[in-house]
Amino acid sequence: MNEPVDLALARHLEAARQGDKEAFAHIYREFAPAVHGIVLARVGPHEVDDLVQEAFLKIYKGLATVRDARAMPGWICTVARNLATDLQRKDIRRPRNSADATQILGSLEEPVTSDGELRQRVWQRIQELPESYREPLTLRLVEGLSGPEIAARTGLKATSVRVNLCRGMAMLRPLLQKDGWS
Amino acid sequence: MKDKNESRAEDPGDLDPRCEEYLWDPKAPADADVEQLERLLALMRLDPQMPIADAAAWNPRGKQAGTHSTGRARLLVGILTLGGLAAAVLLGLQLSLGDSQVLEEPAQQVSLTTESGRVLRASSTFVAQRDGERLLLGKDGRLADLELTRGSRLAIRSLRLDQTVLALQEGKMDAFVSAEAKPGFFNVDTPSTRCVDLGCQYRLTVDADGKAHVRVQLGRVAFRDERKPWRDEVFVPQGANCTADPRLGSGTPRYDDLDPALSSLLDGFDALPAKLDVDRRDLATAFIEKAELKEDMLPVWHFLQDLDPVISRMAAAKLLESYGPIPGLKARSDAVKDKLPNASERALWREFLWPDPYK
Repeated sequence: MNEPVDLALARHLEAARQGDKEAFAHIYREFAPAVHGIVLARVGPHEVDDLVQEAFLKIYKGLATVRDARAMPGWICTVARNLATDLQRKDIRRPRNSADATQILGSLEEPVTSDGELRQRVWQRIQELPESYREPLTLRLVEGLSGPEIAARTGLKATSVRVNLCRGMAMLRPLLQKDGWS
Repeated sequence: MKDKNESRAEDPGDLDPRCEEYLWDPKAPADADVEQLERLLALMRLDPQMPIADAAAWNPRGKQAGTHSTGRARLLVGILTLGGLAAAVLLGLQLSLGDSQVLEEPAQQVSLTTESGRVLRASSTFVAQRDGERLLLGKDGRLADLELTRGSRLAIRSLRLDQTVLALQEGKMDAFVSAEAKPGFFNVDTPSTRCVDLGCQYRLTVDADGKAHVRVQLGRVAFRDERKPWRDEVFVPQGANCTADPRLGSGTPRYDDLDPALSSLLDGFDALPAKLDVDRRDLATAFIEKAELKEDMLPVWHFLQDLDPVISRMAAAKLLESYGPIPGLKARSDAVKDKLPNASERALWREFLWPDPYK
């Protein structure tokens, strides 16, 4: 690997391995939005909170296996993706299509408003995108991460993130227009 | 090896110029569609209050019946269920033995233990047997870590999750309250005042006469003083200290390195009974006139809420003279210049001079 080492992350990784809770808390704060977005993009809003905690439990236990801080973002995201995939495989009732997503989004704690209905439709459309577009768009539009932040947190190349974001958006626009998005 | 998520990324030449810049960099000129999507979907974002992962005290959020649980969550639910059954059996036993003591709901309590793991209960008193004796609030001290000097006497009044109240009757306590504890959660009563944590590390000392002294090393503390009901707030930021007297109540907070001449004026002011008094007003006036540095403004800010309207108005004028109108606060016009500074005005000055580090 030729990427520069994130010294702060390397220090936190080393300290967390030694049992330093504050260092692990830093890692959590740094990566929790990315893990949340990755899981959300795959399993939807109903399961996401439990799975994020499950992911960080695995991450905590697996810190000793990470030899190089540069590999850490990619590893953390792989843990999250694998957990979400396991859940998809185990639970065939998990909402994967837009009708199920509507049902789940109906459980979001908010009054039924036109914004709520619009959100449901938009989320359904995002779910229709290929996974490689859905994930960065979720990280950008839901979690509020910028493109460079997505690249740093996921370990993906910046150019890949940029292309996937823009292609995903280009694919999303006509879908939204079908729903009367102005 | 190419990541699956990189597989579709090819030549960026066909990027949609309408969304490219803003999608990539939210500081770029906004794309209306993307901006609307962001606003709409932000509700689904990670809950910032979600507890920080801690494997030692792992406790995934409970799910409602009928919802999916992952394997570990199911295991934990099982353990909790068994624990619940055991607690119910113990509770039943206790009730059947005719114990009339009111049992607090365990789920609403927070633990306080010694370093060796001895559990301290509410309504008991702990006396430190040696210097540096530690008490841990929450599992492994995740909420607060307290260190007492030998002979310090700490009464445990309430150990509730929403608010913990201890009482330092005598001695010295160093408290480190973690960021996990909400401001106002950790309270320590003294014979003179109540010390309310607003997210910090501080040293609290109570002498044999019941005088309390707090010195804040990190964050901020408030004194709640029933003896001076006109005072909404005694605010002690990092690097400052404050003394409270059982007879006179809280003194005026000041920075540790306050000029000795100014400090002596404050000592004189604090020693006088709080009432409309010429000597008291003269001491406050002398302080306000000599105050120059930002640090000197801590007592001036407290003068805003003094019971003497002359002192209060002088303090408001001093702050405006020193800093000019601040965001949200306009210069006092002739029409309102005689009006006393109200709570929102004080709050604006406080946030301007000592912004909340946790906001």
